[in-house]
Amino acid sequence: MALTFIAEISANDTDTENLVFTGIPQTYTSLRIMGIGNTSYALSQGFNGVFALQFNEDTAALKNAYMRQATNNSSVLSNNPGTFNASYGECGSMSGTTPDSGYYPATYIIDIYNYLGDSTYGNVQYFSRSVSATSHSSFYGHTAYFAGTYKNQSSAPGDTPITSLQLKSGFGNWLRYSKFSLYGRD
Amino acid sequence: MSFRQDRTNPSTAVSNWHGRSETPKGWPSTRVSTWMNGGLFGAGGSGSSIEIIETSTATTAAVTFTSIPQTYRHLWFVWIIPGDSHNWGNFYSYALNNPVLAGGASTIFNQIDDARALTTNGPQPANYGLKMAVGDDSVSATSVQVHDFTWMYYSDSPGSGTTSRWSSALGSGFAGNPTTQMSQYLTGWNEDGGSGASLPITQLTVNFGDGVALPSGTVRTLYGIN
Repeated sequence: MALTFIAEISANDTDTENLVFTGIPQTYTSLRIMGIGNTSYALSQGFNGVFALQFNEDTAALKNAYMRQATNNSSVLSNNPGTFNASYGECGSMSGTTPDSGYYPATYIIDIYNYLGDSTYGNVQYFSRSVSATSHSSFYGHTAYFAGTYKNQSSAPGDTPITSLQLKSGFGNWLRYSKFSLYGRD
Repeated sequence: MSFRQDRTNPSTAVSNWHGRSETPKGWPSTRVSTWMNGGLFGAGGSGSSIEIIETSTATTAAVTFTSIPQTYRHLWFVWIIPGDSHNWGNFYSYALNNPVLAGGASTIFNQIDDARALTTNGPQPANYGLKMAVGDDSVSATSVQVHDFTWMYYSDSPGSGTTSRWSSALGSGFAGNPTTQMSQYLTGWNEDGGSGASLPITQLTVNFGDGVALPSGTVRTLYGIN
C-alpha cells in the first residue's frame, strides 16, 4: 500500500469549530485521515464529544448513517445499532477539558472509500478508530470503532465526487493544538 | 520563488498538489526536507510517505529505539510474532523521554473469541510502562500475531495551557490461529505530562509483558510517516 501525503490542517492560533480539507485530488483509490484533537468543551464524559465528518460540506439531513462499537473508561458499552438519516457522519469522540484542562487528546485514523464519484461502487463509506485514555476515572477515556456511509448521489448512488472533508467539533471548538493530515492510498 | 526553508505556510487547498511549478503549495505545512525524503522527489515514483526508521529481528523481550528522528509527522510501530506457546497476552511501552513520566494511562477494548472486555490502566507510577495490548496465553505454534501503534504528531514541541497537549497513540492488533482461538484489540494510550513535558518523543521502548524471549522470526519495525 502506498500512502501519499496530501495536506495538513490545524486550528493554529484560535480554537476552531470546523477544519476543512478542500480541493482533494481525484487520483487515489481511497483516503486516510490521521490526527489528534480535543474540544474546548467541558464534557461530562468522553462520548459526549462528537467528531462529525461532513462530506463536501453538505449539512443536509437524511444523508448519513453510522454505527459504533465502544468502551468508555469503565466498561464495554452496549452495542449502538446505528443512526440513520443524520446530517453528519459520526467518526470519533474526545475527552473535553474536564480532565486536566484538555491536555488529553484523542487520536484518530479514518479511512474513506468510494470517494471518486464512481457509481459502480455505490455511496461513500468510511471506517474510523477513535481513542483516548485519561488518568481520570470518570468516563473520559474511550476506545471506539465507527463505520458509516454518506449518500453522495445526484442521479445515481455514489455518482458525486468528494472534493472536501469537513472535520467538525460537535460541542465546542477544536483546541488549537488539534491537527490532522490527509493521505491518499493506492 | 521565496518561502521559509523550515516549514511552509499551512493551506487547506490541495488542488495544486505535486505541481512542481508551485512546490510549496503542493506540500502545505510540511518540512521542506520531506519533499526530498521519499516524498515529492523520492526515487521510484511511488510517492509513499512511509519510511522505515529501524527494523529489529532481535528475540529479546524488550527493544529500544533511540535517537528517533524528529522529521516525520507520525511514528508507526509494527510488531509481527510467529506462533509460540508462551504468554503472548500483554506488552508494554515505556521510556519515552527516558525516564517515563508518572501518570499516563491506557485503555484497551479487546475481544477474545466471543467475549468483549475492557482493560484500563492509569494513572501509572513513575517509570512504569503503559500497557499496549491484552490477550491470552497458550496459543498454538500455528498462531500468528500482529500489532501496530501510531503516535500522532510525536515531534511537536511541549507547551503550556490549552495550546499544548501530551503524547498519545492509537493501537490495534490481532492474534489467533485458523482452528481455535482468536483475539483482537483497540488501544488508547496517553502519557500524562502533569509532572513534565511528554513531547517530543525521542526514545521508545516496547517490552513483551512477561519478559520471556520471543520466537525466532519476530520482526519489530518502527516507521516514520511524512
